[in-house]
Amino acid sequence: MTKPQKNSAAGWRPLLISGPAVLWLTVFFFLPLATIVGISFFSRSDYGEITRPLTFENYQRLVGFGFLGFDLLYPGILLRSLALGAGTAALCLLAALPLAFFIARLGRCKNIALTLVVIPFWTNLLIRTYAWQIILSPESPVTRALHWLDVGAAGEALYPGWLALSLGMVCDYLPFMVLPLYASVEKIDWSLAEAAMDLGAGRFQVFRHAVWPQILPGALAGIILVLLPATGQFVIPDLLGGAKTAMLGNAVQQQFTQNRDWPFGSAISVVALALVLFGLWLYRRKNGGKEIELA
Amino acid sequence: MSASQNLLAVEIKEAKRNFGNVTALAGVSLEIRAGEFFSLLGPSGCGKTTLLRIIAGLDALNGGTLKIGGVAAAEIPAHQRPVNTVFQSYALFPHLTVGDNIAFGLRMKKIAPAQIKERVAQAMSLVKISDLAARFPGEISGGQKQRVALARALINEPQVLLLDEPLGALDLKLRKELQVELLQLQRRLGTTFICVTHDQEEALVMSHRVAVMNAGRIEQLDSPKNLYEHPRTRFVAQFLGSCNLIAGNVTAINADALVVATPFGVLGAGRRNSSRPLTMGGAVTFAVRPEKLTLLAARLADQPNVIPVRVEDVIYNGAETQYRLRCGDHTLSAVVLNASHTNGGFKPGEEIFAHLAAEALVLLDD
Repeated sequence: MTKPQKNSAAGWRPLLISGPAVLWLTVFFFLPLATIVGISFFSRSDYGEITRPLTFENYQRLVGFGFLGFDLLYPGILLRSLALGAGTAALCLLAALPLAFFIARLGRCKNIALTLVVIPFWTNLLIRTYAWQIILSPESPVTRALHWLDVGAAGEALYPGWLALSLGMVCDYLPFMVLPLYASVEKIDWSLAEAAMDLGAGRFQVFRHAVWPQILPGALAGIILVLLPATGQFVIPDLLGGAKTAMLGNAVQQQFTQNRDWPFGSAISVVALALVLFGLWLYRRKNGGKEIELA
Repeated sequence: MSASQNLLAVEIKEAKRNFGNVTALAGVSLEIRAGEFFSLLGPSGCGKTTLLRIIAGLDALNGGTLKIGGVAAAEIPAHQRPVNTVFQSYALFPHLTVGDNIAFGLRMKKIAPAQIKERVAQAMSLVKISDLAARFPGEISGGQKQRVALARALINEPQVLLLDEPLGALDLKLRKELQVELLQLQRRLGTTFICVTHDQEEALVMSHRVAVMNAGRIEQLDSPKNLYEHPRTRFVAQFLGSCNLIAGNVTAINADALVVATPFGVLGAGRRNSSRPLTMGGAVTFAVRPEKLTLLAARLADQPNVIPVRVEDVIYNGAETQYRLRCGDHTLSAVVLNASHTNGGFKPGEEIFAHLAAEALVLLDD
């Protein structure tokens, strides 16, 4: 005999458990999101109110066709932000690969190493970024050592500049790359590497054909986790890159506050979201429909 | 051996390998002939897999020499050795199709694509998986994976094919089928096969010669028949099939025979060319295969080597019947083929006689 009460319990229990979460997401995520998408097709009145007519003008402005003729300001912001994100992701991948292999081979100290990777998160982003300003200031030992190695001009700070920007961005986003990459590296089936070797593959070919395919899911997850927030990042470029021009993040913020142009701010948000979803779609396609795997 | 060295596919001298304090190989010397199906048989941890990995180049020697095809090979990296391996878990590349898996070795050698295509098709028909080319390893069965692994290795036309527990992951029926297929394949191709297995039946069925390994050493290297009929040590006797061990003391040594006092009475045995010097009164041990015992309802007059026993247990096995027999404090096991009604048919508790023919008593070295 099966237990009927168990069957009926199975009917309402999942609903009861997931109900609050579903309700929460509906009210505080899906509805606002739908509102944003809706607003992005409205116009702005002279006083900053959201009014009709419905229009694609916000999107046209975003790709450069504003009311002042063709203007590269917003496409520029979009491209600059994407370049920042992609560059950060690439540097993080290069830095995280050896680190992930190193941690995976540590044995018992693995967990300590992983904790060390995450520890910088305990400090506020702004403080970490200002710390870089101090480390790269003209008189710091690090700056002097780098000057001695012919990096930068003597007596000058190493920020703002590309070096400072890269350092700041990589340090901030590295954990997002290391953790998923580590999860893949730790699971590597080394017998595949041996099989490749046995079949005549040299060192590089073993990595390319037998190891890289195994860590690709982790690398893709890491790239997405770095690329997306790094694309929206504007504090670090401001403080370390000397970017006086806006990034995607502060462009949105500006439209919703100073400019009081909610429809255009919404359009920027929607495009940013579309880019994210496009990235995830690419990931799923490349990864055989699997979700992002984390440790 | 009279012939020249090129008839040796693999030559190993005094091979030693330690992992920390653990000795995996304690000085193994071995000559494997070209075109031979050779098996390394032993329990897990006996060093057989280590030996295979050393031949493949996936592990290194701590001492000793290794020659493959007459060429010193210890320093040659794995990817340049003329050997290929069928791995225990097959180690198929999960992101490549079956066809691409098989083509892998040829691609690494930068063979022309048209030729690769042709040879992949050949290799796939050789192992009867021609219809699987587009599938991924995750989509095929264990037996099919085994065939893919075999094709992936054989397509490179290695001098020596190494097989690490090739059938270990398959169920019994499939294993028996593939044993025969593997054997036929080897005989047809003439490639030297070196197979690591812990399954004694597999080794006996497929091999020309078998090296039984234990604790990092070779206990005995022989043809399957000799291994089974004339085991040299207790380990070999008991690892291959089941065996009665009978200990005793020598009471007489003749030119071609030996008389030994055992707990079962005085037994006469043939004198094999044992490496062990025989002395009067010295302790010796014999191995007797259960199927070599003849069970008798009554004793014939003057027949030697017949001992009175009581039937303790009878286990009917279909094709054969196993008996456990007691003689004083000692037991013997016997197996009788259920071929007729004349032999066997004894019941528990019955007092009968067991005949241990002199030639059935195999003198062990230890």
